[in-house]
Amino acid sequence: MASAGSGDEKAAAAAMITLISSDNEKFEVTEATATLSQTIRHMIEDGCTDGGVPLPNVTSKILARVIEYCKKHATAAAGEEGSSSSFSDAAFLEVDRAFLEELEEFDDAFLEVDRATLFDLILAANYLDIKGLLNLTCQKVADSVKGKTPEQIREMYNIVNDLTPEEEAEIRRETQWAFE
Amino acid sequence: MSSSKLSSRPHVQWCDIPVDPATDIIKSLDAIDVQNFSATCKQWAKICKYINATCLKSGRPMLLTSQQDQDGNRFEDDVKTGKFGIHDVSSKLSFICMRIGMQRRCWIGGKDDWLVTTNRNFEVELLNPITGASVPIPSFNINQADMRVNQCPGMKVNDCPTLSVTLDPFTRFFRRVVLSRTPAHHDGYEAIAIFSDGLLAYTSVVDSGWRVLKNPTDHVDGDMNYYPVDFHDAVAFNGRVLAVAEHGSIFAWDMNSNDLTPIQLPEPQLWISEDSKRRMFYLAISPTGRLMLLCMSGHGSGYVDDSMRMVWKPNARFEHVDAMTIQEFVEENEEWRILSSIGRDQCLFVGLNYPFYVNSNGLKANTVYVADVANNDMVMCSMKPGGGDGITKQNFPVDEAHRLVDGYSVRTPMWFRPTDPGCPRI
Repeated sequence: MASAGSGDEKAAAAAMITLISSDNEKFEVTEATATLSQTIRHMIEDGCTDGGVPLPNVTSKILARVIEYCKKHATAAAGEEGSSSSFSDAAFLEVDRAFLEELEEFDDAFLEVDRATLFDLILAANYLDIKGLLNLTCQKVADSVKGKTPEQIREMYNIVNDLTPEEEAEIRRETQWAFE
Repeated sequence: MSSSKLSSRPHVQWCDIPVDPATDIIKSLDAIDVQNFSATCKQWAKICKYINATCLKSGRPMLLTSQQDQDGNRFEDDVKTGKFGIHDVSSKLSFICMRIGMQRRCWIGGKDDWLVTTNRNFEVELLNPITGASVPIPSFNINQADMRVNQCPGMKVNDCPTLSVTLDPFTRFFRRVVLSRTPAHHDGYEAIAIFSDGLLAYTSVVDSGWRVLKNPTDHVDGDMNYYPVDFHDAVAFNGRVLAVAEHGSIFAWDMNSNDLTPIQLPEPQLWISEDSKRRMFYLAISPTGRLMLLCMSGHGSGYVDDSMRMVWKPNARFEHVDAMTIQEFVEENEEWRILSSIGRDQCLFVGLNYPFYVNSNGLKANTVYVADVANNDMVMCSMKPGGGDGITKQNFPVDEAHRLVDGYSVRTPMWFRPTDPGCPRI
């Protein structure tokens, strides 16, 4: 995740990128922040970011949250990078742990959203190809599904059951036994 | 999926989640969760199928075991975390599952979707690991907050790692709970607890506690019985409890009568072979409704490493398993008949679970699958093809024996078969 690897990139880290949401709001972010998104990274590499990057699939509300996530994680990545060369091992571990704890706290707070926002965050993370954010949000969904019945899951996620009882049985069954 | 559609829709369409995030979600689910997840809506079912997600399939026999730590041969955490292993014997796939309801609990019996579980305090409950539903049943421990107190007069739970109770004049080690009816049955659950030293107890949804069944050697005047008949297995059938004693004799209790004194059935056909001197008996009810007696024989009194188990296994302490003989009781003639087949396309599963038959589809036909015998997690006793001409004394020789997990384990390997929702849940 460390984006500030080579000298070239370090120089470019200060460069700003403009992201444009579906409702035409503009967001100025550093390249280090923007390149947590593989989709944007590829656009930068292809040199087609002049005049801003239009993101027709992401609303300003969601984009603001995504940028908040990327800023935090880009800072953390840069911090880790810096600390590894300038601290002793023990100090490095200490700093490292502090970073991780802080990140974890940030992630937990970040996930305190309603299910509609969570869904939009997943779509945005998927579209922008931000692996960390996708894992984080999907894990949240997975955790909420664990140990639940299909009925409970449907209720939680406002899903209409479009399966017939036969189809539902078919999903659960593979072999039939002869005798009860 | 497009932005304009998204913002215009009042409700979020979770069913339309793209494949990649859905895959991410499914990857962190266990096989039971995947079954529930895929039964939610058509789209999710399709995705699970498309990515070939490991999904628990109902109707198949599976062996439940402890789940080994990744780094080696210990199981320290699986009981704490509620983890266990599920091994599908027909597809030969193994899964790891984690259920909150299995945290600090072990199964001590089961039938269909339901497991009988207990903690170290001997507080018993029924758990459906698929739906997460739990149903309390009378505990053996009197010190619980539950209203359904232990109603066995004089019974005390002992404080030691192996579950046991004291009912004068002995300490009786716990063997298993036979769950003969699950909460899904229209008459509610029914269960028999088997302890060492001849202690059997019965409960059902209408009982407020466990009723102790009289031992065949109990004194009429209620004096202490120092020489009780010990039982290996029991089933409930047609309002009666039937149990097999350590020497193969069968006793029956009428559960509708107030006096729980047993009658003895005619003696089965028993012998002890020269080589196989140790025996373990199992009971089952055949597809045609007949009582079946299965005698597993073995030899050698080697070390059996079940010291970590909550369940005591005194009778199966032989080192080598040899063969099984099977007979059924023909009620009309009041006699036992030795069987040379259990059905050409049938398999029978016995162990801690309530015995069940499955069609041999994907399995070895005409075979008895026994869980947790000697040092094996599972043993298969197969009728040889073309057998049955001359009835020998070892009709079902041991064909295969497997040990799926190494080292000590707290959880006892047990067969499990979630019901097929397409079939009536009995």
